[in-house]
Amino acid sequence: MTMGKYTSVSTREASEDGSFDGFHGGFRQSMSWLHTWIGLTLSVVLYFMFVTGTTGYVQSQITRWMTPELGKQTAASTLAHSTEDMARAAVGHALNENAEWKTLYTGWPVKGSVYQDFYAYAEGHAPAEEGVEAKSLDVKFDAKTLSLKDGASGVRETGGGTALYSMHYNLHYMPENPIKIGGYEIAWATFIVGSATMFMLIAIITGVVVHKKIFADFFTFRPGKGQRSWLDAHNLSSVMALPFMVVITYSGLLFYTYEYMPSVKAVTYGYGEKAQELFDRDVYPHYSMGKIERSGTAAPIADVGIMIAKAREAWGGREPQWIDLFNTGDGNARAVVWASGTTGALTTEMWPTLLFDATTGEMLTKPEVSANPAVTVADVLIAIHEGNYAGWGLRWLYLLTGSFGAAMIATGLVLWTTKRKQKLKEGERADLGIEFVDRTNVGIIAGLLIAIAAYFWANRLLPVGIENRGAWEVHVLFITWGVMLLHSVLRPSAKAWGEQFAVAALAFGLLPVLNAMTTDVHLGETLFVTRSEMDLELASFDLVALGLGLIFARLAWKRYTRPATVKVAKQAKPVATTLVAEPAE
Amino acid sequence: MRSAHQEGRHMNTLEEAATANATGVPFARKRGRKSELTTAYRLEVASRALAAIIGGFALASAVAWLVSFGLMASGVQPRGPATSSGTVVSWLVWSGAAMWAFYARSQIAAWGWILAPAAALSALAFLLFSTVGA
Repeated sequence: MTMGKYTSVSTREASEDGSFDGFHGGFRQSMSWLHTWIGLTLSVVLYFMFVTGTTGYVQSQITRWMTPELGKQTAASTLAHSTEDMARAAVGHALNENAEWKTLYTGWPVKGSVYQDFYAYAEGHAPAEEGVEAKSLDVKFDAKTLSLKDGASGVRETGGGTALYSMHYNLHYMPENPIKIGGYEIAWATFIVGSATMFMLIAIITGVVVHKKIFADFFTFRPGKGQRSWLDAHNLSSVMALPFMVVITYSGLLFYTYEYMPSVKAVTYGYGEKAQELFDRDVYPHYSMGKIERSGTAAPIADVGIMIAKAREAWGGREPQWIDLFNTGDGNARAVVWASGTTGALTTEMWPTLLFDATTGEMLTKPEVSANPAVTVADVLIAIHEGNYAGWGLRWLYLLTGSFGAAMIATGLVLWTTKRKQKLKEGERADLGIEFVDRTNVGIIAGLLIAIAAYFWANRLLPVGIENRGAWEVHVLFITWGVMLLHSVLRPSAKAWGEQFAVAALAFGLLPVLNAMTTDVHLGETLFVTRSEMDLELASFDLVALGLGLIFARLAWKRYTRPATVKVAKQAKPVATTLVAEPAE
Repeated sequence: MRSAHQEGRHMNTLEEAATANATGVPFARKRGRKSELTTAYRLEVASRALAAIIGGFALASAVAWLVSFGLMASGVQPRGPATSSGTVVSWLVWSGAAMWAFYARSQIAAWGWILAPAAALSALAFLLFSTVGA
């Protein structure tokens, strides 16, 4: 690049001492340096988080595909029993086991839920004698029969969509012991994910600073021009999904706010169980409003079905999905009924709750709590992050913007090396570090996508009934990613891209075929049938896989027919005139 | 103020400086050419990174304390909500501090303009806190 670029882009740099390096330049130039390096440092973690996290928006659809034994859900599918009956069965069973639980939680499927079972999870009061463990209960029931579920469910063991999307915050292979500093504790995954998220936030802010012409970027894509095209793609994917990116990142920090920024809480509440209890009561009152002292007088629990019916009426259409009971068997028994999160609309109260006196079934007014606008805002941002409220239209949009996020990081990574390789003179070889990043980029970016396809292949091909089957599906994912990384290190990147895209094309494109060969919930049963027999949710999985296969096939084809060579020739036109915001570094 | 790395860098011409920069300084080693990256430069990057991370955390904490304790001392919010309010704004302060750490003209400015306000705001915050709940 010529000097012209710098003089036209920069405002005050290149002045005084003639220093051009990153942070000694003007504001935009230093921010560009920061954007480049902070983006690169944890980009692998961020790419992994974006790709696996995006699958979370369709996690129940993925789980459905991964448990073909559950069969189709058509428009006519209904649950065999009412919500009230399921709740009664679960609570009845738990109270038969032990009349006095400290907490008894139960939840049941609503229309469209993946799993057709419900559960009871309970903990007893701490026993008087020391060394004796409190009673506990953790059981599942079949929603069709209302009876206890034994081990053999007839449904293959799978990690499903849950294991896949959970990786974006638990990173899967992480030490169990948290980091401890005094009373402060934070899980390793939480720490790493938080650091990456903080880097992301700074990368977004500096990215916006660097890219002044955001609106122009929206309409700018010049393909087939090497670095230029990568920069356009990077800008385009970032700008298209910018609001999503900002909210996803900031809310990502809000999930573990008090772990990431413990300063205030450490002073106002301190650490320890008692402090945490006080904090929860003040900040998340609805989670603990049922937790009150026992009265000591015995009293039976009223019919939970009546409380559920009252809650449904009070919400005017929102379906109750969970009931938490506290102090069962005691005069001070309380019940908290929770509404299903799927509303199709974003509200400030994402998880409405109602409080009941569980001995009478009478609705109580919730305890008076002081307004907490910060928590309200945080709750809404977190709700947007999770997307539980979203209907199918919004879910597609989430998938698209999440993919843009992944594409933004991927193109940023590629841009980093493309830019550096383009600076090379004829016959000059790239520095080892650049070469390494250039090669591993392939395994990281394309390899992860192949690894996720492998996760689905493992679901269909691993023998049903092997031990830890769900865990092995995940191992297959990471082994595949490792193999792809190894492959990418061994091959020149120009060849590796084409090869891995071809593998990705087959891995995704053939999934519907594999599905048809191994199950009876394939496209022939879910799509090419009469309308009332269709299961478009299941069909969508196969169709998206097919679509991804075609996209990767196209990318691979392009690589084979027109192999990308690093262009040594410089562009005649100074970059600055077309794109002021070119990261100057 | 000229920082240590500027003295130490082997830059003969502006042209070379521009090339080094355009290649992205830290890995801009060219074959057969002496590395343009000096230890002093690397130390400066490390120092500024620490200013961004540790200094940024200190400043973010200070602002969070000031907001929370200020809300509590003035009686606008009780302890719980005040804790939330201060905490959720801290990210923007931290990001801002990190950006400053890499923009400041010198390392002294980078550290100084982060730590000095952090100390001052913390002092003010705890002064306010001492008036709470007495």
